[in-house]
Amino acid sequence: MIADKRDFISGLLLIGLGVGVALYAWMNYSLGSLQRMGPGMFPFGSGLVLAFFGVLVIIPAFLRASSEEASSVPVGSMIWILLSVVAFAVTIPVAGLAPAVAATVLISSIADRDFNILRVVILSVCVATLTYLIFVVGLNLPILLYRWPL
Amino acid sequence: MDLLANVILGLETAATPVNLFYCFVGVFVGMFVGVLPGIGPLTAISMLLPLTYHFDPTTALIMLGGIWYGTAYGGSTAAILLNIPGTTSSAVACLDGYPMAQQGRGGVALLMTTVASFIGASIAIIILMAFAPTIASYALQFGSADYFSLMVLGLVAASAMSEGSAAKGLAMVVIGIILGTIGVDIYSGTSRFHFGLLELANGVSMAALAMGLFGVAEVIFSLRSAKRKTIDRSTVTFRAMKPTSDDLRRSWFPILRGTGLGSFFGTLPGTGPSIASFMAYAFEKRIAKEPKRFGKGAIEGVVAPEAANNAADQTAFIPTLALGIPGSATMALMLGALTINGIAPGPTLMTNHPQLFWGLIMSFWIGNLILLVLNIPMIGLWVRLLLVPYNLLYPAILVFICIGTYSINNSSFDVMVVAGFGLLGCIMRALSFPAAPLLLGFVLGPLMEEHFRRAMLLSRGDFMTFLDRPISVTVLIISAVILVWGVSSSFRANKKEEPAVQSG
Repeated sequence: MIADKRDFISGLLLIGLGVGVALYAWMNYSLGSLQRMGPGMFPFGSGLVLAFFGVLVIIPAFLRASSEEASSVPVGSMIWILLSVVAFAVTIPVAGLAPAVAATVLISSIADRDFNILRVVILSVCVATLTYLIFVVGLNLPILLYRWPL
Repeated sequence: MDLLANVILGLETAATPVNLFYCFVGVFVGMFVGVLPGIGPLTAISMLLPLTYHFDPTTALIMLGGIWYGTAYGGSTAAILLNIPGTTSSAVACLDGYPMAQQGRGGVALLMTTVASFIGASIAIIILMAFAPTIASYALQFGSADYFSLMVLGLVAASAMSEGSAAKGLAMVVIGIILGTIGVDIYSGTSRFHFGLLELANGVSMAALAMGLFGVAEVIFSLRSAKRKTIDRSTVTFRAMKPTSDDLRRSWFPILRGTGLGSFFGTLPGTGPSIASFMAYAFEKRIAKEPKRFGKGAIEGVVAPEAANNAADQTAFIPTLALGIPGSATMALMLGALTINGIAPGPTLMTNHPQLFWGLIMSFWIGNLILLVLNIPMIGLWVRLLLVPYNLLYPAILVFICIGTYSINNSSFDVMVVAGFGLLGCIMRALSFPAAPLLLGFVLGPLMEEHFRRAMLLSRGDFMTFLDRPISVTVLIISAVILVWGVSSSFRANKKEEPAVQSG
């Protein structure tokens, strides 16, 4: 019976990743010799070392009596916040800085318990102004405030 | 070159208007995020890292350094007034600082921690000035094998001592190293692990990695824990700050002892300010005549840890600047700021770029003086800042992360990378993997590969080169001892998880 499932899964993931990296490096890049190493040697070795640490994570999982306390992921807020970052990446090259800021502030605010549209609008304007001043006026970066028509 | 000439050179560099301004920006931001719970120095430095792409490297380091030691000052404010540590290294300040605030002596605690911080930092800067050049000149004779072994030691110590399971920390280091191999191999020109994505040919952006792992993941996890707070304003007026002569008498030696402990632990990889402040607290309690007073508002328990963590913040620069080997993830970011600006870190830094090295050190003095001034008269402002609701703050932080990443190369791809590492950060927390070792491995990985390949080339493929050289073999033996100790301790059944101390 595996007591600490979380560590068991972690160890398996590490072993899988390590072996995967080592195989990928072995198949795609030349390993070279020990004296003249090719581009594949170091990643190949690192992958094997990772798999080894994966084994070291798995073994104690069998010995432990119970699972340790873990911080559970707040899945809801995680999705909204990651989406808000993606939204920025998608919006800024198409529509410019201000719409991207508004999108990020709006989507990330959905994760907040007391969502308030007025606060989102005010915050968007303030943050857009501030970032415009710092990055475009202050640092002279070539970022458009908005692009219209699209 | 004699010390005086260097000091003058440093002052000339640090006192230019541009550098003074960014030193101020750095310590101000540091103070700001130190006061705010939920953003640590790592998050703050990764957020401002993109700005440094557009700066002169000296200015960049002055600003990032300012954030680093500024947070140590600010962190104790939240700890004392709200019993919430603004940063992990100030968690100890809660133990006696909050009871002092409850007794109406919060003002005294704030003033004394500021003074203790200043004294601790000042002494540590002197130690830094005295030792870093000596260590660097000694390190000039290190070969590639020695460097490789030193980096192994740094990584092993940092991951085995920081938090939780040593095996997990080490696994994170290796994942960091593997991520560091993405991109063009400097020897053969082969592009590795790009999976057909042109954007990965130059490797993963360090800023994007740091902001995803520390910035985005931090925001996601602190959303739930953010609460409304109230503070008794009357304890933080100017008048309430005056310490009694008894306070002063009691504080003097703990400050010096804390500084000593902090300076020592600051130089070691993996320990850093958090461990230093815990050690200083434990030490004061051990030697106190009435240990019962601790936890009930003993001033010794506030000043010693604060002196220790500020001293450690400064001496942490010794291995980073003299050897080019960072002891913590934060220092790795500093080193990264150097490499993005095309400056090779290592013992030659001081001789090749004296204005950078001495300018940075002199900026520490200036920054600490600014902090002293910022702290005491402006305490009311910082207290008000504590009351800013988190739901106004976190969308702004996210926007800043996004635009910061985007601004480096005008690349949307990098912003996507931030989201990817944000997700990875969440998964890692769910499986209780520490994030700091990953960043450390990522920064040191390419350097390790270079030194490893060069050492093997010189030894004609003989692994014994790592064991033949006296420095290398000593360092490897120490690493092995730490490794065995760390891994074996996680094998003990029913091991209790130690309180997570983030080596930042």
